[in-house]
Amino acid sequence: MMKNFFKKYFFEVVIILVLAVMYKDSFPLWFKEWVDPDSFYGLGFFVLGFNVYYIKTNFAALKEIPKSLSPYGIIPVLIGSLLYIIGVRASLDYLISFSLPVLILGVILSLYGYKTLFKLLIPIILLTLILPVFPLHRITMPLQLISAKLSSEVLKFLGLNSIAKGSILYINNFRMSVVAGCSGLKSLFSLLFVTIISSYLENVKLPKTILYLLLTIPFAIAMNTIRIVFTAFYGLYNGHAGLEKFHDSAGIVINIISILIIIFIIRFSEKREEAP
Amino acid sequence: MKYKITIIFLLIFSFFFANYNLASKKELTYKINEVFPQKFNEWKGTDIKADKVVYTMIDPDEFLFRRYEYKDKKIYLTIVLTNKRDHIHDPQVCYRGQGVNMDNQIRIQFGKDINAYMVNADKNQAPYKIIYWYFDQDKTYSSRSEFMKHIIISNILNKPAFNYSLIAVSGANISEEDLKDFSYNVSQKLYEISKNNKS
Repeated sequence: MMKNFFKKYFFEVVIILVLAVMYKDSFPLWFKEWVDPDSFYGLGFFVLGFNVYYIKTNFAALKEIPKSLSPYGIIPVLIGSLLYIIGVRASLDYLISFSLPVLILGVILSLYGYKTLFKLLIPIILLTLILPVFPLHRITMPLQLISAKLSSEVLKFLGLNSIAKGSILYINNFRMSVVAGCSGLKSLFSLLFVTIISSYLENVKLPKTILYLLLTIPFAIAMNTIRIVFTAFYGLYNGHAGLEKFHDSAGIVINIISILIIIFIIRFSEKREEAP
Repeated sequence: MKYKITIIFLLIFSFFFANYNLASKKELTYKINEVFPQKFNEWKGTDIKADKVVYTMIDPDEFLFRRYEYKDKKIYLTIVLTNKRDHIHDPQVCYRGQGVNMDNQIRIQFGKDINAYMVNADKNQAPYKIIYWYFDQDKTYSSRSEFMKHIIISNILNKPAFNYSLIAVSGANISEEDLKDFSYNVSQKLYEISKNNKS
């Protein structure tokens, strides 16, 4: 049976082995990000688990799609190879990480064609989300500034004397920094992940899924602002003692509520469309 | 069959080309807060502990943050010296986070060939000047994109720089001349330290 398997999938096995060798130095870095509770990529194992589930449940459907070699697949393979070479030689970890989903996309398109690639787009996008493909400080700082400014406006609206100077909030006599961990990026990643999975499970069409994903961004910023406002109130009455713990706990609660809201909205919206 | 073999060949070629004769990374041979003098010309330095969030991005051994004083003048010196390029970021990231308005910046040159950016900022509604530049233990660069481009090209050509520095000199109520003089002396000192510690 194994002999037949290797005979049937010889090239696929060789490609997987070559990719494993190419990224052998990156795996420890990725693993470290996935197990670090403070990392922005902490969803790693959830996503991998979902990808395995996805491929398993769609395996029969994938087998039925007729294989068609696509010459256009060579383009992403060439791009991915170039990204890999530059990434390794210039020690740009995020470029090396980004080259992997590009290469996978190119290989699938080359060996199996568009229909199979389209079917596997969700796992590829999710894989990209859990790899360190972005220089994150370029995203966290603008988010910190936006979060601080929005929180300050909400606090002013609630009658407090509040001002945001950069990412530092001054509320009455209390001073609080909106650091990278408060930027909302971690919750944004988890909400994007939930949106993709919910859309898949509810069979949402692609244009609507993209719309949901785009709306997730301001939603995540809004929920993070709420967290910062609650934390500011806590700090105002209790000072800095226990502030970090409160901030972390509030983050978990608000993240759970956000996830439930997204699941509910997508489910409710799709059920309304299905109803006669 | 030919197409599949081509794909495999491309991947194998990428791996070998990427790793061919790749220079191995070297460890930093010195810690900046140990080798840069506390007493610097007529200026006397005091170490300042930065916000703890800084140390989540940069190792304490890679980071120098000091206030130098001479008569009634105060200048803040920040140096990040690291062999991890990701630890060098645009100073706008830090200063903006502190509420410093960095919109007004101009490219300057001082000394023979030291390129830097000067920012006439404001902090807490008071004027605040900043001069910052990047240094790869050989040359100085004013912008991060220039610096990174040089690092990437050098690495691809297998002539890597191993240590990267970001230097920022800043102060409130300090003249441009004093700031430039101080910056020039800092850069000379760093050249000297780099030369003495080249491995």
